[in-house]
Amino acid sequence: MTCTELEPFLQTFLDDEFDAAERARIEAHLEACSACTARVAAESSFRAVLGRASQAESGRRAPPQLRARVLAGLDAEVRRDARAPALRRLGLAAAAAAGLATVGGSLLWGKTSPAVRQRYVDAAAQHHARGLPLEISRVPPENVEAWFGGKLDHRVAVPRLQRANLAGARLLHVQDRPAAYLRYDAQLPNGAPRGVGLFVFDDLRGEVPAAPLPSVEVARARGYNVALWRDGELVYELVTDLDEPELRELLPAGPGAPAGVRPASFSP
Amino acid sequence: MLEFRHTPRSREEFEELVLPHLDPLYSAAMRLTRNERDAEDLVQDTCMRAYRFFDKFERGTNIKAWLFKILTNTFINRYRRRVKERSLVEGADRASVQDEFVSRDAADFAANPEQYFFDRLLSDDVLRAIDALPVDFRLVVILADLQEFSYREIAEILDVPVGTVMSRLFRGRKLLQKSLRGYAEVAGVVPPRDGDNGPTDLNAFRRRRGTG
Repeated sequence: MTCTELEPFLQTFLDDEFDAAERARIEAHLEACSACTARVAAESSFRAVLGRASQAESGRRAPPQLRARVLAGLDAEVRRDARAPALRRLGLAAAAAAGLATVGGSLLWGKTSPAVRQRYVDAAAQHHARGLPLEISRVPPENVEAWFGGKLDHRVAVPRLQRANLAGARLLHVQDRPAAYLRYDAQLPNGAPRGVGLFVFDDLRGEVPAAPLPSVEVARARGYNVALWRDGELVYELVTDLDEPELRELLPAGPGAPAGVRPASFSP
Repeated sequence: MLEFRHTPRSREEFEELVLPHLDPLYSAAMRLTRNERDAEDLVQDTCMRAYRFFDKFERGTNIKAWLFKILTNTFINRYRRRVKERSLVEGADRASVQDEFVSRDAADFAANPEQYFFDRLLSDDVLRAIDALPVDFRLVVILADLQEFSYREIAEILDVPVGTVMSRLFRGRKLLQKSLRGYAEVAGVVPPRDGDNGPTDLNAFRRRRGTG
């Protein structure tokens, strides 16, 4: 081994990333080479100071209010999980049938700007109207889900709509938010298939004024009806030229309903 | 997917596994966001995400690495834009930074024993210098030197090859040494050296050594 060979890997050596045989060779060289030994010593003194900083950092405690926030957040998640299935089973279908969903929505989101919501509705309608080519089509939903893998912050699960089949998908943006765009063909009784677009994007901070399920609000933009709802961190916008009652019939019903989107590959 | 994913039991398990890591998560979040409010928000978001995807965590694997993967993903996706940090494009990694940092290296200290100034530095200086690193280097230095993850764990956390981890770590530490030298106000008495090559390829090294 020469000094030139070793030098770029001195850090690796100090990081203890070599196996025993490699270490033995390097140590043999170090015994014979004072220049490399000096380099290791200098590098080690730098590491020592990093080590002290690391130790100082390891004494850093999360503030008590953060711990309390996390626990409160968990409480809220648990309540949400416990409530969700029953509400969704009853809520979505019943609210849709009674046309009450928008009431719940406006109660919950009455204070947020309707203009902000309308911008998202508009953007979705506009992109849907452009009819951009699909990037993947004529494959089963699982393949579409796989295709989105790594393209968005979250994993995409394709919601099963009533009376509609998945035609394909592409990436789009809704107001600067990267979104999965899923296109379906809706087959209504006595009619030709009608195109339906479904945008799915994540909104971790709850900035998009969309009411949580079971509420589904329907707004109009550019001649389309746009249904808007939230499921946890995800916002869904369904765009169609069907009228509102027909649109509501498409909505996925029951507890397994609008399937979620998950962050990609969280298993280390 | 909306069935009872989290029974009280799994919440209990979550608290048991995750809460002990709140301190290191907060520490890393402080170094990443550089202020307490954002750090708390980042840890909060990380924990909520972790809880929602807890069923994705493989029991018995490294929970700390899993949490740090969520933390760094959340940071990169949500906070990095907000703190308006310039992203280092691939490739710039190599070229532009090399121009920035000095071409001297550790050997200079060996040649100049009076330059063992590191010993006199305060941990606060070191943390400040880490905070000032460009984000891609800061991430690897935080993970390797403050949180003591291995190359392989860091590669998995950041979803980059091990070689990229080595290269960023090498360069990040060199930048750190350079700015610490600045803190120590050491005059430029050391002559420039050539051949400050970063790690090239561990496999190539092993092939050359015939150990691979």
